[in-house]
Amino acid sequence: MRIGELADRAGTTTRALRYYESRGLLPARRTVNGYREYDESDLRLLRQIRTLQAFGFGLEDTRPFVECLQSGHPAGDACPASLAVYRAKLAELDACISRMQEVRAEVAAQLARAEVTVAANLPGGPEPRCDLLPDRFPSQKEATA
Amino acid sequence: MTSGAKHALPSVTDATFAAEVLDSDVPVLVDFTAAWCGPCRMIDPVLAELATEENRFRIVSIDVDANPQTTAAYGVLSMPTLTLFRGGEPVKSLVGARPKRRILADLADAL
Repeated sequence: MRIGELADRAGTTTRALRYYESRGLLPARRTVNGYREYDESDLRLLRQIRTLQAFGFGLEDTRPFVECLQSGHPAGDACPASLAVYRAKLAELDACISRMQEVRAEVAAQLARAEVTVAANLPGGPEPRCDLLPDRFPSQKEATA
Repeated sequence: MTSGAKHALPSVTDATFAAEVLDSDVPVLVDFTAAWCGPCRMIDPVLAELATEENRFRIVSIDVDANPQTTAAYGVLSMPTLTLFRGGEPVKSLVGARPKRRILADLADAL
């Protein structure tokens, strides 16, 4: 198939395919009149690249997966180099989640402080509180009786 | 900025209240609190921050749901209730969440 058909079937652009070729990720054969020529195995490589990119992997991260498929493995992540990319990505995600959790805790603490200040500055308003309802707390009546 | 929310207040229970609060050598501010009470969560970081700054009294929290005896003994009906204990007796109670500045101002005559 020609480059336009491949791009359509993989949901990408001919420009992206030429870029992948320039990076050595998706080499194309040429027909006698010089057009790029692709087959189903190229579509498979391309889908592997697109799937990983959708998860947030950079283009270079996809190279071990592509090479794994090219070397005849049934799946792009059947090779040790691909597993190393997965592991590195997980570590990166863990670090990111941890940073976000710190930021979240900080924002929550700021909000809590600000809510107290706002509530207490309402003119004439009572301080915010929760009342202990008897049905919520039946043992209290026994204890006071 | 330092966050007080990371340092939870020490908690007491019906079982430890006498030893931790009533028999304390220093005054103790007891925060009667409940996990389901929004204003209690609002005041938690304020009290945690206060606890690191105050040397005139200690601050502890007690969960009213888990400790009905102490809650009933001091007639706590709303949370948060902040009660200052000195020499085994409650000397001042504040009901409702408020900023740190107001807590200190409202406790001033009892300190």
